[in-house]
Amino acid sequence: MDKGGLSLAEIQEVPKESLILLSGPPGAGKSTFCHQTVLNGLALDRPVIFVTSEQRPAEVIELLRERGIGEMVGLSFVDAFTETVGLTITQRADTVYANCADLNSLSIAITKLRDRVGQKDTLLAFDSLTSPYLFSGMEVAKFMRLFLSKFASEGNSVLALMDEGCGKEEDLGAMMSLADGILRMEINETSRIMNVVKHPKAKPARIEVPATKIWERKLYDVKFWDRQMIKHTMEAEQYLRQEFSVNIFWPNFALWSSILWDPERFPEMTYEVWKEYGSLTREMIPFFPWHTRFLFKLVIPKNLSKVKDMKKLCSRFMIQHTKARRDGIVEYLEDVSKTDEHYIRVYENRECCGFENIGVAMASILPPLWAGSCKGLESEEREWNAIETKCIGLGDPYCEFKLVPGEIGELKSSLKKDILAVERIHERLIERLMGFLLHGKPLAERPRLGSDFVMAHPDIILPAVAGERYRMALRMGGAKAGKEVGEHLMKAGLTEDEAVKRVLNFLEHCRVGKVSAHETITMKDSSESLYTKYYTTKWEEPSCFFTTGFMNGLFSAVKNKHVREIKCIAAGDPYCEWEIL
Amino acid sequence: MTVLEVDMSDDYTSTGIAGADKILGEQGLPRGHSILIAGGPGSGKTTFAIQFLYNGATEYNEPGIYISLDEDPDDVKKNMSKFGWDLGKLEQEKRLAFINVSPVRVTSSEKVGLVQLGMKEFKLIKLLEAIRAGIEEVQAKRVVIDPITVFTLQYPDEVERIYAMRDLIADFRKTGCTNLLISELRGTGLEREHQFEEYLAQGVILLRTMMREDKLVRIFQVEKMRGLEVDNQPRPYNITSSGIEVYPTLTVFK
Repeated sequence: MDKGGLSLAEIQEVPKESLILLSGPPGAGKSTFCHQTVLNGLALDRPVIFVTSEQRPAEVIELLRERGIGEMVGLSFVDAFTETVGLTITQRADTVYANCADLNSLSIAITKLRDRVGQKDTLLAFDSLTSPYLFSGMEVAKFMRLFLSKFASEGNSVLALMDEGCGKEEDLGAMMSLADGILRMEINETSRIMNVVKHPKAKPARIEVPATKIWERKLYDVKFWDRQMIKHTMEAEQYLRQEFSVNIFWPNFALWSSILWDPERFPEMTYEVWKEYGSLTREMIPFFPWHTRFLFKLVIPKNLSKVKDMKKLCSRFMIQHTKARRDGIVEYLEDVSKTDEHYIRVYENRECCGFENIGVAMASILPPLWAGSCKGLESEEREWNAIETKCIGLGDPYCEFKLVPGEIGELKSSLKKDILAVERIHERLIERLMGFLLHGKPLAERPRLGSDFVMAHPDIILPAVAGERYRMALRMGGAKAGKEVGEHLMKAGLTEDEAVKRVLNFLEHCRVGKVSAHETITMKDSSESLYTKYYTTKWEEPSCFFTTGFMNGLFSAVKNKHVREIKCIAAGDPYCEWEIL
Repeated sequence: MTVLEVDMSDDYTSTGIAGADKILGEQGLPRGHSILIAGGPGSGKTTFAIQFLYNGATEYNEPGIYISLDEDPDDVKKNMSKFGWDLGKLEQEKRLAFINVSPVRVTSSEKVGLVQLGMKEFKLIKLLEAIRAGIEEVQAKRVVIDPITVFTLQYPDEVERIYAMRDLIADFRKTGCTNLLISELRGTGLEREHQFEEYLAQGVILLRTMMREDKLVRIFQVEKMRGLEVDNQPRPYNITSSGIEVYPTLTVFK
């Protein structure tokens, strides 16, 4: 694959003051690319105007939701479909109507939305110019020059799509000559190819994208975790013996900020990812050294139904493991447990400490992790599930969860988080963070286990394998949280530089990574991407999703700037680096 | 002082239509002058004029009168209510006045002040008296005559017509009111012959329409506006639920 040092993610960011024309035959993936660009724009906190001429905005929204968009903040539509094909118009606050047969109506609609947004740096996605071209012919070229190029030159970016093969070749050529950048997509049986013909920020290149693209992968794909990856996991465990730990605040902050972004799906995705992760043990066992395998055979019961077998597993394996990581102090409740219904008590569960009486069960990771572990350790292949029944968050002095093979009736509903509770949790996290940033108060403290825990797991959770929607929630949740923090700091009267400095100190304090800030921000041992590196083999994109989102939100609130991750441990760089734009 | 010698004061009055004011060099219309609004049927001439009066009465403390030579003012008021303009209320508050001098429909008993209106043939003097009376009634600063075409039709002889028009405009100048003379546009396309009214008025605004496929394209163009650096380019406009919107930065596409 000849990448020419360029990744798809880079060209998905449309540079300021440019008009990029993306052409290709129908089905080449232009719209997918366009949607991805829109999501990137939103993640960077840019206002986005989406002109849709091939389908209704509702359908576009549906597709964007599939790719992980939560709120539609910053996104507005020019619906050039409904009126063009003569359907009934329903008035929506985020939509202005236009007719593809009349280029004036398009320019008017876009201008109206731009004025409503009232902000420069807008991304205009035009999917596609094909319909207007079919109605107006080469008047479209005039439209590109006198409207789209002009719109771009006013500090915005434009990505316009055009089908190949539906008009005269020389017309397409003329349209290309008007664009600042030209991307051409091709498709063949095995892959899609993106030709960067001309680009203001990149050299001409040819990028091959496998036909099943990363963002089309399912929530979690075990095949992606090949043997090589498992070997990496072993190395990761070794690495972690060097007491690699983070403050329990940070992963909680990331988790709940992401849930706030996508409360509908994020808890469920978290549950599934962690369950799968726990069950990986089964696939890993053959790779362990012989003495470990022997020990496993000796210690781990074949079947976990009986109370005495589960007790054995807990006392010899899980309790130590959990305590060693300072995840919590675990106790198996022999007296209340019965066959195929086990109860585990956890003191000082790091997910729940600090959320006393918040009104909702907090643990999102330990229950599915244990369920997955049971699934992976038992010889017989059975689905295990776990649900939290008592929680510090519910006012209990400790947390408890029920572990059963098979389905738990109330599990699904418990994964649907009450948005008000999520907001309360988020508020408390922000409050804690502000206490730390402004008055130096501790972020989190547990009586026996302290504030840190060992990140024996990828705690900002396997984003690389968890799917686009998951990553989007991390990125957008991070951006929103970062923005809020930045706004609070500004309100508290801090200078811009002081605000940034304090937040970077906070990241260092949490051991998110070893931070140094000059013209760019670099981070050694970045906890988020470190794990992506260990758990994947083919990952080439910057992967500090939450961290990048968070810093992006912070910089946009404090300095009206953005950050972009240009180097990432996950992509093979020695450290992570963000440039400030 | 004849029409062509009037001193151009640097005083302007806003139309209250943001896009139009922008095209008019961020100023508006020259206060106390006659501006011709020419457009084809359905182009929004009356809407533009009423919007000018409404904005004047509600935002700029400039009461106005609407002189109808054709349509029944009640119909106009009713039609304009769809834009959310309560003209009846403004009329009651004496911030607007509607005068019907429609030569065909009005019975001879209708009076404005002492002037009897509605003779089948009415001449300049009658019209002027009606206007003066109306201006006095509401202390008007803005006047609309809709449409001026009906007035000019009273003078079959072209020379006489031009003189009558010149006298009307000169007389308006004395009142100090800014007035819009609404005229039918003969030939709505981009190529057309100029009409004599255009030479006489201090400013000319064209509202044109064009068919693009089966969609109507509306074009706003300030043909001239004496004393002002204006944007003479054709610009798109629309008739929206809140009245006329002009888009001063956009190019018209065919």
